[in-house]
Amino acid sequence: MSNRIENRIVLGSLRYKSASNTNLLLQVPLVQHTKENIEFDRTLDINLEELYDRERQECSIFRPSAKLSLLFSNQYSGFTTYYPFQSSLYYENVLSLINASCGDPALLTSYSGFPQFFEFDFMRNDNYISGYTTYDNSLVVHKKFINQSATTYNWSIYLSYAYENDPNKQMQVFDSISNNTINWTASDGIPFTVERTNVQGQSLISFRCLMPHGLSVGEYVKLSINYDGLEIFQVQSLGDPFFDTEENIFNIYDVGYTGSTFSNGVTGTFKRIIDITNSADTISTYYVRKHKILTIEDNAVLTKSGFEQQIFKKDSKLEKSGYTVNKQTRISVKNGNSVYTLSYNKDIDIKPLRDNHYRPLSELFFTIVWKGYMGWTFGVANPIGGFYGLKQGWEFNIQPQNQVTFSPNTWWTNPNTNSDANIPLTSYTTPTTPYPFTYVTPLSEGDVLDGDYCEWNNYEMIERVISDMYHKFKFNPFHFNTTFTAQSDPFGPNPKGYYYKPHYGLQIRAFSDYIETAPPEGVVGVPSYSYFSTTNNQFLWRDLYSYGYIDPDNIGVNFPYLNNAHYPYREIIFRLIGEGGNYNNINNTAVADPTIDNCE
Amino acid sequence: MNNSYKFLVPGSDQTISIPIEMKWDFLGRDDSIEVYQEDVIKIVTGVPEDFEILRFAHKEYDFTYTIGQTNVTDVQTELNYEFYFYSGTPVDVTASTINDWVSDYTVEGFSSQDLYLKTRPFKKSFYKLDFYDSPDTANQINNFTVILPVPNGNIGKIDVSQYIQNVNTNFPSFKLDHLGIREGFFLYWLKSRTFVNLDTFYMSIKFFNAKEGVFVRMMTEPQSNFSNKFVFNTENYFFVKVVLDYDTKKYEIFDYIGNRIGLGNPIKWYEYVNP
Repeated sequence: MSNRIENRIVLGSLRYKSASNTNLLLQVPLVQHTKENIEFDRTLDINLEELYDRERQECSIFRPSAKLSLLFSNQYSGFTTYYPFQSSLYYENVLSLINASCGDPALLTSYSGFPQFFEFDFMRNDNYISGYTTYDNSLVVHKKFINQSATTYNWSIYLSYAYENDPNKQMQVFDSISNNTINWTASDGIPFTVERTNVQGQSLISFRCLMPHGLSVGEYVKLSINYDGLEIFQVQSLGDPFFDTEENIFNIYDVGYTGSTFSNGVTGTFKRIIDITNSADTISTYYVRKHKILTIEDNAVLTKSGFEQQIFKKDSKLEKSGYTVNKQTRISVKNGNSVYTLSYNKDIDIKPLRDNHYRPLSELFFTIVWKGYMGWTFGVANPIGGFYGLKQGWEFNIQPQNQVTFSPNTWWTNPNTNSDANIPLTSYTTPTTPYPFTYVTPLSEGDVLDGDYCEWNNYEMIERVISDMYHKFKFNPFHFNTTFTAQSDPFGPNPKGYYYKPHYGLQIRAFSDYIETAPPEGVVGVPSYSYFSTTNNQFLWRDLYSYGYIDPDNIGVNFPYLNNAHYPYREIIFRLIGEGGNYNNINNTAVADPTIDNCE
Repeated sequence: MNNSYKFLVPGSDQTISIPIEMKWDFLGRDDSIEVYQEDVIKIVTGVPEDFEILRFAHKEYDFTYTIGQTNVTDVQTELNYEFYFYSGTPVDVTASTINDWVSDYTVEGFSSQDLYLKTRPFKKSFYKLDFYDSPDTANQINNFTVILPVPNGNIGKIDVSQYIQNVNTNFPSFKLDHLGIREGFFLYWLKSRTFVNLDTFYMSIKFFNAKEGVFVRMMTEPQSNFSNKFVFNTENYFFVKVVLDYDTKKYEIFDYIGNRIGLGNPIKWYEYVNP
């Protein structure tokens, strides 16, 4: 009501002289202002493209998928006295087997050969081998094959994300040039070996790193060693006169440093500093990423990828019933070429998740862990209890200790607890052998695994993977003895085995190429994950690009959005690498059937 | 609201406080309209629906069999179907016995040559598994269909000529599992239950004879088992119940009594012969 002034009603006779009293009628004006709803304001153009984009940006549900190709060369043969394993081998001593079966059985010392390809494949199909996966007439079976477990016998496939950093991980690298073994803690930085050189008349102190150093010319390094208290030096150049060494060697001017600080062979670690005037903000940190598991084994749906095969040919042969231990004719496969499609029956909602730098999640990981349910691997007792299990290291640890014999790096020795993946094993026994069989226990949601070795710089706000994580498994020498082909003692502390990379990133969002800055006051919209530089008194962060936006530098993601979910996809070439493995050496070693044997 | 007051002359001055209470009718209307606008747009354009599908596998079961003299029990997932066609003898099905249904394509008009050479009509024939929301044939919706191609059938030998040895061909039986023939073993149905909330289906099967271009309806009992060959409860004998378990992503099949079927032994289907 507009009139809010108090009204006073005066008696008529008091209004003026000779006025009489009269009845009064008061009209109370009820005034109101109304606002018309203008039709124009209520008219909204519906832009389906905008609507789709809005729904897409608001959606936080992901359904990752992948195509998995197993790249593998079956390179360790061995012998076994365990009947079910004998029934399954890809035989390599066919002639002696034939001689034994038709001539003198004493000639047959043992069944030797390669574990068949399906022992390593993502999907086993050996549900028919008598005495091994099905009962033979004497009711002997190693493990009765259950078809629904075909994709979980050998490998466990999960989804994970990097959620935390471990700067205290103990690491080791072997420098085969100087024969030095360097031990350090992840947070110390990147290890190096000093070499004094002279390039085109310029004296330099070279720092040879066994992993990419990530430095640029003009940046600074803070060394773990010091020269008269001086520990920060500017990078003068990268590499040496040889090809492709820029990533692993950096140099500083040798201005005549004396003493032994920069003597040849000195080892240490360094941390990168971008700006010497602001070293507090621009010094890098180093750590091992830790992954948290988001799914369980049964969430992964693995199927054959149609008729697709790899370029490498399948390597198989006929094993005739005359010399197979279970007297069954079979085709055995040494190397396969299968390709699989991987999806999940569980949706991943990334909204509540934060990555290892407390940012919204921008990357998921396909995490693949060896399981080895059939028991060909592990099985060596650990003196402190249990068995030696899956080992872990980084790419720089794969380098052999001996380049000629390819003897494994000492990092992988069984007693080295720093290389334990710390994933529990489960064991079982069968009636026909006293030695147990062991396999890796499947993980649960929320379990944590170590990941790649990384560098982070608050000034750049980019995580750089210095070295990928690798796992290693070794054969169970009690059931499969690789003495001859592996040329190392399978019962010793450091036998050969197979390596694989467990984590494969899947980018689901992208951070901007530029860095946003803002003063601490008067600015709205500073994201919670921004870094506050006390030196510059400002926040720094990288924006999250929208789904579907690709910037001129090709940074961004644009994968299908439908069913109110994002469908990111990647192709994974999963390499299972033997000691000193080289895919140029993949060859066909199938033994041809003899034309003449003792039966003829 | 009464806004007319009449004052009678009193003996002294009077004051009156007029409480004029108003509820502002338009207060918040703009906000309401914004919300309403959102609702209208959702109705007009629709909201994102989830039509993603899940894969359901046949649920595992214990199966006991004999090796030598010993009973062995295994966990299996295998699903077997066997199809029997009416041999046509006797012509009048009212006089038929169960033995008049045979698991043989030749009674469906395929010659031995068709089977041996896998002629196009033979290869193009298939079984159509329809999954309805109800067994009531007068009021049901076919939600999805699975096809079993004839060439995926089990392999067996037939005699095609006295001059050559028996040859391999596909029989009207199927062995489906996680390995081997997988087509038809997995059922794919909506992941989200908000759009269509169904986890129980009624499966019927028809055989499409590509040689004659006709569909042959199958049922779970041969008509010879009924006293009146053409009067029976269609809900019981044209359908089996399939129940999906969203937690385990597996399914089970039940007969009309409620017993789980397909546990190692084949689920048998017989041709329905019209009067």
